[in-house]
Amino acid sequence: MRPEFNEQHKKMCLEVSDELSALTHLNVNIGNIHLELTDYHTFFQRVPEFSYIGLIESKAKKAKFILIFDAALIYKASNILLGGPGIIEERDDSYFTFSEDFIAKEIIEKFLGFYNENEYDAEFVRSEQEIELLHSFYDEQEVCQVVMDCEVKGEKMGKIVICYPQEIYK
Amino acid sequence: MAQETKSSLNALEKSSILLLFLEAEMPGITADILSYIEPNAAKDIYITVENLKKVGSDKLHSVIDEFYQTFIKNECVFGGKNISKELITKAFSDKDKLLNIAQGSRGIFNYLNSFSDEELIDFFAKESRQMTAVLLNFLNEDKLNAIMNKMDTNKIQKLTALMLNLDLPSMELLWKMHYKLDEVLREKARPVTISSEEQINKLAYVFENMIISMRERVFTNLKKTKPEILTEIKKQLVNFEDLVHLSDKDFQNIVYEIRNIRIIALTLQDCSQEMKSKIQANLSDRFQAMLDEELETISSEEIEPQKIQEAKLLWVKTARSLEKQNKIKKLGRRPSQEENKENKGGKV
Repeated sequence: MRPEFNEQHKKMCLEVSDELSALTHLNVNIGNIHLELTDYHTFFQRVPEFSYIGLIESKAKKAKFILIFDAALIYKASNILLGGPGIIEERDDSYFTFSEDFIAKEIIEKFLGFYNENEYDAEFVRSEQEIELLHSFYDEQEVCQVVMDCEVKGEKMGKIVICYPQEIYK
Repeated sequence: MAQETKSSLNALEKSSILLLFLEAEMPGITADILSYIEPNAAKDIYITVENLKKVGSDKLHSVIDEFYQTFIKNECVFGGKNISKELITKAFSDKDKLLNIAQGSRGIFNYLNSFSDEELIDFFAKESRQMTAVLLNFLNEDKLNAIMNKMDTNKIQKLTALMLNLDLPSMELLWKMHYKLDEVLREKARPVTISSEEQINKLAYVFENMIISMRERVFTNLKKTKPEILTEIKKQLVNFEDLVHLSDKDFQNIVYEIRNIRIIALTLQDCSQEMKSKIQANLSDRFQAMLDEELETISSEEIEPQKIQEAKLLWVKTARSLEKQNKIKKLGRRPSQEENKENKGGKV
């Protein structure tokens, strides 16, 4: 792993938190980073069945990586940003509405902003709600898993997880 | 001097200079004024202010003078003042804040009022209650009333409670959503299914030009698989006999376009009495004489059902072609008696 990789992610947490706080006029805090090298199969097993998953492509690094948000994080964040108290509404099925998809993409935009400032030349490719619908890595492939916690106004919203291939972290 | 300045400034620059002057006199008034202006215009003013940099007293006097001449009829005196960069910074330092104030909530999601109640209810059904409450909040009173009347009491109670407790943290984010939602709703409203009017019309056009026996085979199959589509297609389908309802003027246009006396003669071999009368009533004496001659020369062997059918298809095809060129009125509609009187033209 590149020695500056961890530091870069600390900086990312700070910058994205600041961007999101400025956008929402709320105290958004992303932190408590934990990096781990593992194989994709193990990583895959850890991902909840239903989450907001964004596939990102770094043209500069010629590789794709995955950004995953806990469904609860997206539900709560959307509720707060739409003037609610940050609750998760009861729902018969697991899905993201137009507004939740919109908010998730806005958050992803802020991450992309950081990546592009750091010469990743990153672009959003598509979003999915189930990890098994993404086929960007082999099962035995080594990946770097970055886990972060997200809080809004001091309340825990959920986890943000990133899965990088070697092209990016080595 | 004033005249020269007057012509060298555009409306946006004049508005921006006036606003800067007012801000210097009454700090905070700019935001109030901008909240009454359409978001895009407010944005343009903001950009113009950003590019003005320094405004000399001559320009300022000229703008105030013009404003005075145009809008103020009473006597008053304004003092001259150099507008410095500091003043611009002071008045417009927080770009996002200013844009938020300028945009406010005026006009946000205003396009929702143009969608049908059903389209909105359908969208709300797939949305969170919180988002629904936000959008309901921006509907006009009539639309809100119409939508609420179509919801059950339990839902209304929950939504009303949410609407009363809305605490929207970011108008900027809502404006972004405003534009995205507009795209999404318009995309949804666009007809894409086989039952759409456009698609049905296209199919009806194809069937009109099909040999009847083949058309019937397709219809038999459609009747089993998609009876509702078949009914719609039949409603749009124009047959040769439907042309009898056209105005005389439109009918004469078709006859003129066909011109082929043989085709007309063949058509007359197998059509309703009403159609025969319509054709004959719209032929000139010269054309009628030619037709009579043609009818005498047609032998019974020549009158094959296939040929008659082809002749009739040519009538419909010609009518559709003229309809596309707007040379005749839309097919399939019976003109009123008044229209028929108005449209009576000279015979072909």
